[in-house]
Amino acid sequence: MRFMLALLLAKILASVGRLTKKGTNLPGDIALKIDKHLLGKITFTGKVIAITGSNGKTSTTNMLTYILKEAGFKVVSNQKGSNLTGGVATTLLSSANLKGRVVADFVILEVDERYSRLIFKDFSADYLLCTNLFRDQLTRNGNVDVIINKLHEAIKPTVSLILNANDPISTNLAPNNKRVYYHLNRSSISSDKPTNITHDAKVCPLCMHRLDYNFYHYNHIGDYYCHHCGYQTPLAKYNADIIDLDAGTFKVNNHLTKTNFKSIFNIINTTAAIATACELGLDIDIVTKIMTNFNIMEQRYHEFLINDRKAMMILSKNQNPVSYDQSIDYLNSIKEPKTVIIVVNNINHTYHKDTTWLYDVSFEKLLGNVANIICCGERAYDLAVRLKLAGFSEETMIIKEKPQMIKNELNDTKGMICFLTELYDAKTVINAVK
Amino acid sequence: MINILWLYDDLLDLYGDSGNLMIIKYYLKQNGIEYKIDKLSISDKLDLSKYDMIYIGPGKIKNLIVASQHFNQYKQQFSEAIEQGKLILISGNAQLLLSRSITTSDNINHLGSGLLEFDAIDNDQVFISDVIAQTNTDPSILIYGFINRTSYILPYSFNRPLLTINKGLSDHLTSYEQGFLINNLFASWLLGPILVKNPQLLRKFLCILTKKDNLMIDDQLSQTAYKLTVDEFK
Repeated sequence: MRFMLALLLAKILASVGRLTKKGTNLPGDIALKIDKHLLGKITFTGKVIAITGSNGKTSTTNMLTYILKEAGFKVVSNQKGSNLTGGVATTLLSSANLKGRVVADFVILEVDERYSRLIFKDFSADYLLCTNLFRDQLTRNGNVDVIINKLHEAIKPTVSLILNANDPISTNLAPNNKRVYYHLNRSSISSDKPTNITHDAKVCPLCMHRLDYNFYHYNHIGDYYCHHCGYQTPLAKYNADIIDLDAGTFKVNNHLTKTNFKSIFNIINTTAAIATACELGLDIDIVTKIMTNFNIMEQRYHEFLINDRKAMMILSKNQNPVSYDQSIDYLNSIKEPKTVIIVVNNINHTYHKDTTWLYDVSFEKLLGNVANIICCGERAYDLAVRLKLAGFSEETMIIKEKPQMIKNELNDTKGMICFLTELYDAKTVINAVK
Repeated sequence: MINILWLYDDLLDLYGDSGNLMIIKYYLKQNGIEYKIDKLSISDKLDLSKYDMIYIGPGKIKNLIVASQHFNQYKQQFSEAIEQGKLILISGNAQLLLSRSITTSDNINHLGSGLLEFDAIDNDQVFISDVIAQTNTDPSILIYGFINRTSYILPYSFNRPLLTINKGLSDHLTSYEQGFLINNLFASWLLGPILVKNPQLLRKFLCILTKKDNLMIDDQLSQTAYKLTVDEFK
């Protein structure tokens, strides 16, 4: 009875939410208050695939959903990134029929790694894809091991894992579970040495001795081996080789495919989506052909004009240095002269004044690639100190704590205006400079 | 030549740990002082007498336990280094290396070095806090720091605390003293780039490290950043 009430109410609220374009979590949250075990009462006609990890969950979910839909399957997914317990409940309840059964060939759920144990408390996925594990929002998450422990609570023994062989941390998840790996081979831009400050797998996860690498793709993602205990990059079932990075072409198990977002990070995630689709029974030839037509909607990068001057918003995640490093790499790929506005405020939601994470971001890579740099936000001076230690002279930096004070300063700067900021701060800073 | 040891840089590398050595390197270079930084870990034999400064940062508890087994073998060397006044900075949960024991959430009691007579518990619960504190090296210096820990120290009578806390929390609701200051050993829960955030403390460190009190230190930006942070607590 409680389940039926929760189901009906969630359906009504979700319908209203669709009209108002709000409320992806709310219907599920309310339904869970009525029946806290409702997720265990929903039944499925098809397979449930969970996608989790520190970075790349949303785009990988979107890619897998696209492949399966294009292949003619009926798919339910939470594509908008509503990946907490309420969001997952909303997705499932609004898709279920009045008997609480989700009639679909596949249910694809993007799952926040921190919430995974709560989401899968009363039911289980059939497959779980973990894209990678990095240090991320440590004021909230503590450290990577805390997240691994939560994932281990979420992964039931029956779950088949699809794991990134290039990541020594997530490779070792739930070691007794059935698994396949995907892997990107060395490319022309692979490095023999770490290219970023943040390196979360300096030691072997088994014996804790220093881990050696044959090459790095980025941060700790690469090809590794432990001299002490023999832990190494596992043999992958799905192997990708880059053909032409500028063209976005690469092969998975010798099947040519293509992406419009030409980064190593995205190519590994695309390989993950292809590997998962194949594990679900699709033919790799068909899957790689479908992926060729997929256009990734990179909502993190948005181009616009400010008073006839070209500008770009590069949404970055503070406290997620690997994601931030990727924003810097993207910024550096813009070849024209540019002025960068970096916004650093106190920690979102908690308002702590900690700026520790700035020392994990490789700001050094911006040296020589920007005409001017503007430090903005409550912690603008802390950012300026970090940039000074990265090698920027004080003369090249403009420091203004309040976004409203930037506008006049922009007249004396050159090139395209690039905003490097969190989503929460984006609107304020753009409005201030218009 | 200044020799610095970053001990367990691979195991104990929670976040932002490179900041402290980054700023020390910056000012040594500015002042034309040669330096060398060694990174050693559990596979290495230690000879602490070779170093002018030792830095140990915080890490995941599992890693800390592994590091402690190695650390315990060098208890005598560390004891002598502390007694001799060697400059040692230990941040975050790395201070538990000095403890008698660490009990982890699986109820296993891990033997510590016992260099100091305190015991610690790790319960996997993330605790964070901003902290404003006086240092007992110079009570006029207010320190800003950040705590992010999953462990706590059991009630302990601090003979030589590093900090007296004005704002924020330490191990317990009623404890206002935190950390350890023994000769030139500085250890506390504060983590990340402590020396970057606290320019006066950095000056003290550089003075001890180089044995010079006339270094060129252009820290106006750091001073402004520090003042703005501390003022937010007023």
